[in-house]
Amino acid sequence: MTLPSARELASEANAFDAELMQRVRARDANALRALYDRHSSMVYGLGLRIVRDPAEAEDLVQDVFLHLWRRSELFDGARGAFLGWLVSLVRNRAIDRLRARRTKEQKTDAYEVERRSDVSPRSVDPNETAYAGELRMAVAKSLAALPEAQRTALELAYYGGMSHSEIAEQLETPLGTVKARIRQGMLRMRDLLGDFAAAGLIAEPEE
Amino acid sequence: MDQDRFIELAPDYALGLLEGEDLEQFERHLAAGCEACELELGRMDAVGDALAYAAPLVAPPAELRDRILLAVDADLAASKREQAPVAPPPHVAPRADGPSPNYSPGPWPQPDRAGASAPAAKRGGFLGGLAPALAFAGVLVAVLSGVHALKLRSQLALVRADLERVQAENQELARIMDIVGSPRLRVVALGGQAGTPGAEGRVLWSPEGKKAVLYAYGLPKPPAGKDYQLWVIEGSTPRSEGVFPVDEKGQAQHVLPEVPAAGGVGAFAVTLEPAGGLSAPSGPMVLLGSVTQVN
Repeated sequence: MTLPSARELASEANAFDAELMQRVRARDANALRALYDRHSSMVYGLGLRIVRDPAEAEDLVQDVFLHLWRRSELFDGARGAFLGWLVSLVRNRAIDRLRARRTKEQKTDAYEVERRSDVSPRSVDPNETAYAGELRMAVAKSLAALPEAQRTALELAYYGGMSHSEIAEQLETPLGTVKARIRQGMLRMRDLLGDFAAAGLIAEPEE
Repeated sequence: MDQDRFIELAPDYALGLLEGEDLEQFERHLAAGCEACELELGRMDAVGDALAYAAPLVAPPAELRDRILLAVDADLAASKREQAPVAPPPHVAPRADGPSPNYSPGPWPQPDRAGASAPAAKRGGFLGGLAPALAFAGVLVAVLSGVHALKLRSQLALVRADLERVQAENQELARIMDIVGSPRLRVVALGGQAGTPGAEGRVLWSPEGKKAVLYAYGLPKPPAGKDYQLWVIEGSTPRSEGVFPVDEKGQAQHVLPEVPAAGGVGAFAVTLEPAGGLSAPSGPMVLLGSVTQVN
């Protein structure tokens, strides 16, 4: 027996998510419950990583899933995979919250860069799809293989929602260097992720 | 700007880092149909999305799931109400002594930003939806006065009944919202028993807020002459919390008539009893959940 490829796993997971979203559009509360059980740990984990406040991350989870429920028509399966859409939704909203808080507090709070142990593939969730599990491993491995400076710059951009100049300020590094590190980090991740990124597995639909 | 320079912008664009002129130019370039950039951007988006998976998985608190699903249920109830057929009614004002149909939704559900107006307006209450019908009814009354007086009177009775039903539902909804917003809400999970393995339930209970409600799912329709009855078990003595109906989907919600105090409650249970219920349980148990003492 051969193991299913990353692409097959992704495609299967995506087909099921898309079907659940269709049922949500038909006002099936059980379908939303299923989506919640499949993805809430990812949504909460990512939200927590970005907003760094449990109560706010909980608000975010509620915000995101009620958005799925009430604005399900905004997801268009023909334009991309569900997971990519969900991840963008979570990140955008989390960063909105983060920025609103920063504006309110009138400061760029010192953003702590996660230590290595925090991106290790230790977390296993039985509810997570096989594909997501594979992806998690691949991302952790790829990130670990980046030079520290690139990884840090990428993390500040992705989780910190910071601009180039904010990152430069935070790291006390010239702007040009920061830009180069982020770009190189992204290109390196693209190569390291290989199959996961080359086929646009979670950002783009199956051909 | 040449092609190489554009491709170089893809990583920043995927991360949302492009600003000002670079952003404008890159978007114009994409819109012009550059396939190479489109392809690169697809990969960079995938990398960006993959970064989300470097964040550890963290299970959110169980109460959050209940809160969200409850909000979904409330949405469903509200939209069902909107769709309920309302005969072209004569002019009827809500009874002055009746409960206000506009409940305060409490701390949730929060309207999401993108969809703030649509669902909020939709949920805005049945009166909004009724307004055109009421206006239409006003015309009807004027035109058909006299001849159809009798018919109208019976329609009036129907509408009044409808209104009362809606008001009752609203009151129920407000009560549930109230419970969910209570201080120190506890959630007691109830599991199906031998004859009802597919059933599950939750009691949302706030002793401090003096509120409690049972939610049950997957309950078979009770046989004729039987009802489900909820019990709170304090010490070893079960005390009745009333009988409750189950809808066609096997779901039920039941507000506890007498909210148990914080201490002393060992469990909540549902049994199948003769219609109307008994003062002590006699039938088979269908749901059971014990209370973990938190204080």
